[in-house]
Amino acid sequence: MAGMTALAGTVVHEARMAQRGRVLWLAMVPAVLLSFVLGLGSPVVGGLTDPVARIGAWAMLLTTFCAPALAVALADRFSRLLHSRRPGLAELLESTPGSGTLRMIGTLAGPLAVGLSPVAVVLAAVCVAAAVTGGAAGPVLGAGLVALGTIVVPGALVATTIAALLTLLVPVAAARVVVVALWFWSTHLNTELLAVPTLARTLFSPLGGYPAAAWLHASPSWASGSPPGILSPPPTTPAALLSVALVLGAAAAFVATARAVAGLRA
Amino acid sequence: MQITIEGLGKTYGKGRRALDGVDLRLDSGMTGLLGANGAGKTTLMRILAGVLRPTAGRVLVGGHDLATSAGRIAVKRMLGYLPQELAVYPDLTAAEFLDYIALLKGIDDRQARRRQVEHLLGQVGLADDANRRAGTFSAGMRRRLGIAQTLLGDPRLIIVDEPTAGLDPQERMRFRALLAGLGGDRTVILSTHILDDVAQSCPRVAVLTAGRLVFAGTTEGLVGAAAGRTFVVDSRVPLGRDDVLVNATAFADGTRVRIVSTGPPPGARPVPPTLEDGYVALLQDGGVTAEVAR
Ligand SMILES: Nc1ncnc2c1ncn2[C@@H]1O[C@H](COP(=O)(O)OP(=O)(O)OP(=O)(O)O)[C@@H](O)[C@H]1O
Ligand SMILES: [Mg+2]
Repeated sequence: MAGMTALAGTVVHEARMAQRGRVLWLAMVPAVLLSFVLGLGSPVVGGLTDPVARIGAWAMLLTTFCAPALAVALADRFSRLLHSRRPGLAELLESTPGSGTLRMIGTLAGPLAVGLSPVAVVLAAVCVAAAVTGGAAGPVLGAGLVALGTIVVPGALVATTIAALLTLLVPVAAARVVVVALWFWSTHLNTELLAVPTLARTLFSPLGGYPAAAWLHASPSWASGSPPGILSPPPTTPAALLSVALVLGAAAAFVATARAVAGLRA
Repeated sequence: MQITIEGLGKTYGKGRRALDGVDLRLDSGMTGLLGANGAGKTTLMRILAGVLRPTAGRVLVGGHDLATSAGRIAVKRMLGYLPQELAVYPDLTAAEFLDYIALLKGIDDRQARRRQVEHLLGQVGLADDANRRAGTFSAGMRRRLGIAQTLLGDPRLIIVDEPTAGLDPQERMRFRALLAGLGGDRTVILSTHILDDVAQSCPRVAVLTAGRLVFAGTTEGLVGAAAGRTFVVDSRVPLGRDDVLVNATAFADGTRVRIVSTGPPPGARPVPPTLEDGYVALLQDGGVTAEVAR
């Protein structure tokens, strides 16, 4: 019970601080604007005629730029709990009875929710536009929620948690560079251009290609590569569920690893 | 509540020994912790607060063993801790900062939280600044905000590391009155370089020198270390090699110095010692001959 109180406190107040600070907005405003402009002009996003497919494509586009932007902005979330720039604060938090794991989760989750809010706003606007231009309200709303829950949020979670974990191992600036590289390697690496192994177009890709293809009428090529392999089966519903679970599981594993690393440091 | 410290040692990386074989028992009430810069006061307090692990020895706080995670949590439930240096979150207001810490301490009732926050802000003289961002506070105001968070949740164990550093005289007096007014069965450990703080508020005192405990006992006992050894003498009189000059005061007819001395120079007039003299006498003895009262 006290643990939940402490978690709620961390989420609320860390969110408030992130919202009042500049860092999050310096990263998110350009990322959202860039996605917005690209999406409007693109035939495979804003130009799609199927409203549900359009929503799925928008979600993947927004995730492409906003997840790494969030990861860069929130990379210091775990390291600040161990050795804050601000003297005494890490120690003061540590002197309270709550669990360190919950403090980590809250310190990330609160600001993440704030950072995702402009993405949710754009996605909502896309849904409204889809409904107005002929889509039925029900399916459009459903598509918006599926897009948010299975594409945007898991992608943002996995990107921010790995960034926050990395800052416990390497300096924050290095972690930011590494996470951006990792992100585009695991989501968009074109193997015809660069013949290296990649997570892009596999079940492990955090871009959300599988849920988009399985549930949001996206082209199957967003999910699996050609030819489909053991890591990139055709985008059926079970495959999409597995993909979302893998991405969320990876985020949880990053948090658990960060907790273990933090424990060793103490 | 009783704190028992046995054979406590802390060696930081690169073999820097901050605490060495400290044995100490503390009972309810206020204990002042004195010692030169680097003596190990902060290290000891951080161990007692459960945020730093010792490398030797053991600590029992109210029967809870700090070596176990359950013991640390139990102690943290009744703890109010003020680190020596405490920054604030610049983007939170004073009231929000206190609300955050109150939630972390598990105070889940919203009304109770608001009442405590308001009350404590008043107690440290920040009632009018409750809704100002803490980033705009002066150093002394930040210190007072730190003091206020220490008292959230009515803790039974209070560990404050140089709480009055940077406070103006009026605020320092207010702080003393605040501590004195807490009452109840509480254990307060207060480190400071301001001997007056201890003389005014702490019936008991412990002194660390280079990581070792050189005195533990009543504050009067420490004052007594300079009994018969405190003198006032004209500044023109040459002092002995082991005499320690405590202070000097200029008068119309010349300057007089206050010294702690085992063999006073001619013309020295004995005066009753203060805590400062006792502390000087203790250091003069290198802590060796001092009574270590238990
Ligand atoms: N994090 C640390 N790493 C290495 N050495 C440390 C660390 N913190 C303290 N020390 C060393 O431990 C010793 C005791 O330090 P501590 O901060 O406990 O002293 P203190 O009595 O609180 O001093 P002050 O009056 O200056 O606050 C010092 O020699 C200091 O250099
Ligand atoms: Mg100190």
